[in-house]
Amino acid sequence: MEAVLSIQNLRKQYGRITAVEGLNLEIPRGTIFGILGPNGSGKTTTLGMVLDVINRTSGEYLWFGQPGSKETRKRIGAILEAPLFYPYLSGYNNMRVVAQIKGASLDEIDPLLETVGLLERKDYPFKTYSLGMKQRLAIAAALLRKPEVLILDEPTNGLDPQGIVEIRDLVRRIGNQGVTILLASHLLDEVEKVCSHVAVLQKGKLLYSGTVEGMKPGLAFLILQAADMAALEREVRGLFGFKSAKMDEGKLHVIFDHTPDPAEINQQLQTRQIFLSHLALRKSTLEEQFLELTRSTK
Amino acid sequence: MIRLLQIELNKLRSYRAFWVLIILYFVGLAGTLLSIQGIFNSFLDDNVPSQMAAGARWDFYSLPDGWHWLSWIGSFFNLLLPIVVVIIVSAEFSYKTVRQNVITGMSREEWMSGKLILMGFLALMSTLVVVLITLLLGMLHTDLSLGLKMFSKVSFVLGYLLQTSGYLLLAMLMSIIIRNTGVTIGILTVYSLFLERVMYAFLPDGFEGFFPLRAMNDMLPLPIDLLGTGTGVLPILPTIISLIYIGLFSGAGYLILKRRDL
Repeated sequence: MEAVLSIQNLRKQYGRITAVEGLNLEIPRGTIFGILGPNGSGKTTTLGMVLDVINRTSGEYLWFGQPGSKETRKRIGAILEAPLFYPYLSGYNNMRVVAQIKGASLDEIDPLLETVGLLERKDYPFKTYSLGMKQRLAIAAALLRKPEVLILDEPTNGLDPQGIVEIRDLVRRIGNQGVTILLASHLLDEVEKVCSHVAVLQKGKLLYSGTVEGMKPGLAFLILQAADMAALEREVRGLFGFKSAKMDEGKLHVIFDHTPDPAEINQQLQTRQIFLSHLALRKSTLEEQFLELTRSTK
Repeated sequence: MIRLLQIELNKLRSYRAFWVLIILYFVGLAGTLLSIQGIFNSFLDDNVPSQMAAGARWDFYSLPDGWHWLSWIGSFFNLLLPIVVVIIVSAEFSYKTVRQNVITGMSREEWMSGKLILMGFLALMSTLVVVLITLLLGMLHTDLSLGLKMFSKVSFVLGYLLQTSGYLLLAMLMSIIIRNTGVTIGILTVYSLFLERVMYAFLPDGFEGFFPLRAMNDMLPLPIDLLGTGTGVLPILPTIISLIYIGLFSGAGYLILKRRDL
């Protein structure tokens, strides 16, 4: 698959602090690609470097197979951190400045404002907009001149639940039109709901890059509870394929080297005089997987 | 170039602080130039004994001296226009719109060029006001039989344009370095009123002409030729020094912007 963005050995050093450490990444065309990591993991710094607003210390990046320039940036729509506009200009006039810089037709402005639901407010100054409206104006501006890639950095930060749903719907709709989307977020749930691919960053290092599915663990585990927990734990350790067990809020989490069959486990424990008061099979969530990934490097 | 100027003007479209100050500036400049002779004459009549006043009854409007007089008087308004520039350039940094401009598809060269073109545009507009008023009043106060000699001192208009541009570029450079409206205006004020003078007070005589504001002011000396050394054309050395500073201010601003994380 053709890569819209390929990053090789990208590095950013702030004094003695390394914000991004030799990052290698390929963003395939047509994907909704998540960049996931806690705050301060180097997501925004990375995006800032490939958009030429942050000077890189070393490394290379190619947009559409060529070195980044103002011309490649005109094929990209990007919002880094907060929406940045002239507060005293109206929504429409802000869009006009962006359109002129990008070389987009002014006729595109009204339909885009319509798409994000800001047409009625287009003549009001940007500073009078609510946070959700600011974010939607930023998306409209990023969509001028039909970008091939849309970059969103924490697009739902600070929005109310209604606003979050609206933005996610918008992102999915745009993604369905074949636009490659690069979405940076510290929210796993967001990446899981919206993205097909993900790169996980921690302290400027790449921990994982691939499909969201591939990040999910294949194995499930059991959650057990019985009157005599000590006996339960002892007996469980003797079961076929047992790997590990740990207590969590009064229940025993048991991991096997295969996906266990709850009915079979229940039957085996009954023959050993253990009667379960709680039995559940659970797949570990992406959340747990993410925490696991980021914890193990500390 | 037209595109970059259009972008810059569109950024200012409904910026009230900008328009209030710019209208104040042009009204003040035009108003002063138009009324200065009347104000000056009535000042002389009211405060100076008539026999002394006779020698000082300068004619500001008759050409070719009018080019020098009105450029010199107009240059006192060059303190307001740099403040306007500080406000618009600092705003780009405090609202981080410069960052979004680059993300959207401007190169840093283009961003800087846009601002330089805007500075040039403001300086040209200001110069145009001086030229039009000088022409208008000059025609009314001059014996037109002088013919082309009326324009013999027109080079001072170029001095006015360079001085205005130089002030604006210094204001822009400081705004790019400091990125804060209030602090920049404070530092520019302190520098122009005291600091530069203090600096050349410590140097041997003759060096003061190499300081930027002094050189730019020396381009437009007081039009009354007390020592009889004036030649009626723009002084060469201050003009060259001012041009060098104009280049330095623009280049330094660009280099700082180029190397900085936005």
